Amino acid sequence: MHTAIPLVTHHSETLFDAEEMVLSMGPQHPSTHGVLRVILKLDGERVVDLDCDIGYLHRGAEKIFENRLYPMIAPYFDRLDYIAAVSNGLLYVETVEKAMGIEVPPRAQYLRVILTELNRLSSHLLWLATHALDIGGFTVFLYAFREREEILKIFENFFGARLTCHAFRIGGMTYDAYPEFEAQVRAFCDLFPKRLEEYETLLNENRIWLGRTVGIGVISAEDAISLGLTGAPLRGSGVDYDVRKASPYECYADLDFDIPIGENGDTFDRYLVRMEEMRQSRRIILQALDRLPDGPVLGKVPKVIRVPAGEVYHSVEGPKGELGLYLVSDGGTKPYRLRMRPASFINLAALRKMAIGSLVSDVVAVIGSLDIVLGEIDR
Amino acid sequence: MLLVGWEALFFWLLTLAALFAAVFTVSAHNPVHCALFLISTLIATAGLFLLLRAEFVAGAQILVYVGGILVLFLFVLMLVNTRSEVENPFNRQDKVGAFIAVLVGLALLGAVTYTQQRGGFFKTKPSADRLAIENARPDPNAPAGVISADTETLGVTLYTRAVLPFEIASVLLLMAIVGSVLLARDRRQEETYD
Amino acid sequence: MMIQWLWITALHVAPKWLESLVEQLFAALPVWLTSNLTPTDATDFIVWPLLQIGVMLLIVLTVVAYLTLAERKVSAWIQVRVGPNRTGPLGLLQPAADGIKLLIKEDVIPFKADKVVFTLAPIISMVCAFIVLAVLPYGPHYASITNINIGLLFILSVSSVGVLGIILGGWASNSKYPLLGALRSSAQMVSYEAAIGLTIVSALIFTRTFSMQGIVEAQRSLGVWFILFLFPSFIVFLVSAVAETNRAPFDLAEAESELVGGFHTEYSGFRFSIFFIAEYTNMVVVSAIAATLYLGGWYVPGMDWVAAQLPAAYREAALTLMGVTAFSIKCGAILYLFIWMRWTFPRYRYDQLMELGWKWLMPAALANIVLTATIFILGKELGLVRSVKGVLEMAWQGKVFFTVAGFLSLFPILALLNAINRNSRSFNLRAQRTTIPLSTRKVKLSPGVKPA
Repeated sequence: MHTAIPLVTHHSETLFDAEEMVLSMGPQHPSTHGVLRVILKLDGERVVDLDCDIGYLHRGAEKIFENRLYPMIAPYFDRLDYIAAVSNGLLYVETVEKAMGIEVPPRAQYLRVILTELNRLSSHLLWLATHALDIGGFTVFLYAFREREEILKIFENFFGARLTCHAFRIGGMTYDAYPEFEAQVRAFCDLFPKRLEEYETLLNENRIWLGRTVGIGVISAEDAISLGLTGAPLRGSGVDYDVRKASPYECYADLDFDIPIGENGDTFDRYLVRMEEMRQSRRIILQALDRLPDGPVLGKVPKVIRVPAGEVYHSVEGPKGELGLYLVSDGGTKPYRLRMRPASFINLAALRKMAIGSLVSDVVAVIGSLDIVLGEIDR
Repeated sequence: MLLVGWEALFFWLLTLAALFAAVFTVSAHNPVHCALFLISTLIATAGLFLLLRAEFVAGAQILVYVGGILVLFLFVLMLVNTRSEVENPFNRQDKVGAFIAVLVGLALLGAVTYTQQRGGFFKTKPSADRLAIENARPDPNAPAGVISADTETLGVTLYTRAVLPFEIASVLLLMAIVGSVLLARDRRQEETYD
Repeated sequence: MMIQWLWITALHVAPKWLESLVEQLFAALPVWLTSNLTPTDATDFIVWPLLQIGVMLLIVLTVVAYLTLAERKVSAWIQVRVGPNRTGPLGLLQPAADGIKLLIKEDVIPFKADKVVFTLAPIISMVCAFIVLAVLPYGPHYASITNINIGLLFILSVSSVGVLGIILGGWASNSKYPLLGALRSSAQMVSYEAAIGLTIVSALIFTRTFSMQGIVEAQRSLGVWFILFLFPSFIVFLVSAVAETNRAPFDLAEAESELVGGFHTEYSGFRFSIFFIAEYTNMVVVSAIAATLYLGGWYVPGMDWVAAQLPAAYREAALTLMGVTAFSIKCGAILYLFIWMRWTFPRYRYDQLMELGWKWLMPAALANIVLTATIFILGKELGLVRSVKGVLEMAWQGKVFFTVAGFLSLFPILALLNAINRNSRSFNLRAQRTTIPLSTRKVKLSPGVKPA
């Protein structure tokens, strides 16, 4: 992704032959969401060219996978997109289940959906928090963290962890929900719409917020498709693609929910899409809770997990876009190759298209609206 | 007006400060330092205005020159590459320049001495208005609610006697602004903003 | 009037030893220096003010320190947090802890920075912020340090010099983020100072003086606050004042999520805290100007009546006490508004900031000058107002007229702004977005094939 750009160029069109300034934004910049380094070429404050330098968080995850037994790999996935550990875990266990043809009991499916959607909420809340912070709205940041805290409390009760949650096992769940789980989730869902309205009061009608997001980082539907964008950046441009609808997994086909779609493909539309997604997630959670069946949470799984030789691709809708996993197995107890399709990495590729010609402040806003997480990009 | 006591002290302090800062303004290597010395000169001059009891002029001087013009100077200096410091600020015309400067300085000195001795170049009688302006001193015991005579006379003069030059100057400045905007906007910017 | 009172209080209150001390000092000084000064003058104009300055500096520094605490506490309340509460009761010692921390931190001067300018920049900021305190009318009589006849102009000029601190600090760091911050702030300051200057001009039509005490006296003699006559001007001033103090939503010069720390990225330890103190002092100053110009300064209608009820001996002290209290409350209210704004709004972008300055505030201020002048002349022609010894006099009809006209003048100004900005791309963004995506909320994709 990183190509060498000349450090100083003279632009003959400018009056004083003013030098273009190369600004290295990151990896220690407050609003590059971790250790992203964006190399900006500026004419005054306007971005002439831009390049992303990534890899500061590279851990060689995909190589590690090749040397681990199948059950041992799952926790690594929690550490890729650490904001949405549950979605990542779901991706892995489902891929292996698909490859092995394991049937997951319905209760486990519903619990998985509830937890994944809760995780989507927490991820979106973190996105909202940091996105607002990047644009200068500090208060929304803390408001969103307040609700995220509620979700993390539920996670802590369920998984024993707040960030790197890990409860999915190949074939179902490790353990059933704790007794107060349903009541707690319902309490949160009752509270949540009011809180969402609170954020929207602070932002939706706010002139400054509109000025900072409307028409910023526009990407057309065609460009979004050809760049391979998924998630809110794609839907914000008006393409209605969501893995949960396009090829439903778990019990999504039984649930009634809508996919919000933007029209203009700018930062504001992506913001609205995600806000609406949070409402839809809540709807899904409530439906799933209503229909939560009884029964076991772990299906029939062999003692030693061996994936039959062959290739499998599976994808789920993560909070940041389509998370794909390509599993090549030689029939052993370890995968021959596990290749991930990280949503953030591919979404980040759109930054250049979105940000060139805008101002430095917009770059920050666009990075925020892409909702990237470096753990997943660098792997 | 003869300066005595602390007024003299301040006069000499400010004058020397203004002079030295002015010299450094032209001799400093770094353009930003030049601007800084120019600011010092202007502030010292404003102090001299205060000694002349022209408070409004002093305030306006700082507000307009330091707060407005010099800030814009610095803005431009920061935009262009100021780090390329010139090794020798003087080019080969420095001898000619020094000669002319000395000549002009001597002429000024002579003029001032002559004026001091003869009571002025132009021996015209100052008009009544002019005397009124010159003699208008703020009354130290005047109630605080009164506009200072300095401000009022300046305003009245500017909008009655000097209204034509004032307007001409403003039109000139407007032309300069429009012209520089026209020059500075390049095609790319036109396309971006139109 | 102020100076007279100052003399009298100085003569009566100042202990005799002070004067004798000054006399002794005079004897030691050369004659040429003291020829046009008497020891009494020196006491009144040099020694006494110096004492006042010392007291004022202590008070203001304390206020500024606690303003930082207030900022943190208020932001905590806004954000449903607790705020600092570990250091001392209710966190009251937090400013001291912050100060000590910053004082004992390492003072880093970046390699290749322009050391002289780098050191000078925070000093310029702080000096300019503090000089202005000398002319603020904290209260009647001896509650303010001095009353100069160009008070308001003086404040404007000095605060315009204060910008240099930010610009030079950003430039001297020899680093990219500070340079961008300095560039932003210089453009911002120049535009918003123009707006402030213009909006003050319309206020001057009623105040008839630059003197800060004179402005308060003008409102006192009328018995009304100028915010009634000058509501549009007050709004323009308030917005520009936030921009002038570099605070959110106009904190572009230090925008932490864009420029890391802006102009003070490279500053650490005490130099940083000097910038910080200057910023908060500027807040105090700006709120004091707003309080003086539009909210009557230390004057509250009815305070003279209250003072008149008291025995003559206490009258003056009571007036001063009430005045200082009223002034502090007004400043505090405006400061609270600043803090409130900071924690509510997102940040403007650089070009939007310029647009707001030049396409909204400047036309508004200019139109307001014309309108206010017209209204004033109209009132004068109608015989509603007379100018007596520079101070305006009017009956209640005049006050009603100017109040109504002041509020009504909002409409032509808004109409003008609408005409100027209607075709702007960023005008009423919400209306441009009536078709926003939630109309597609109902769209449902057909459920795909369930995986085997």
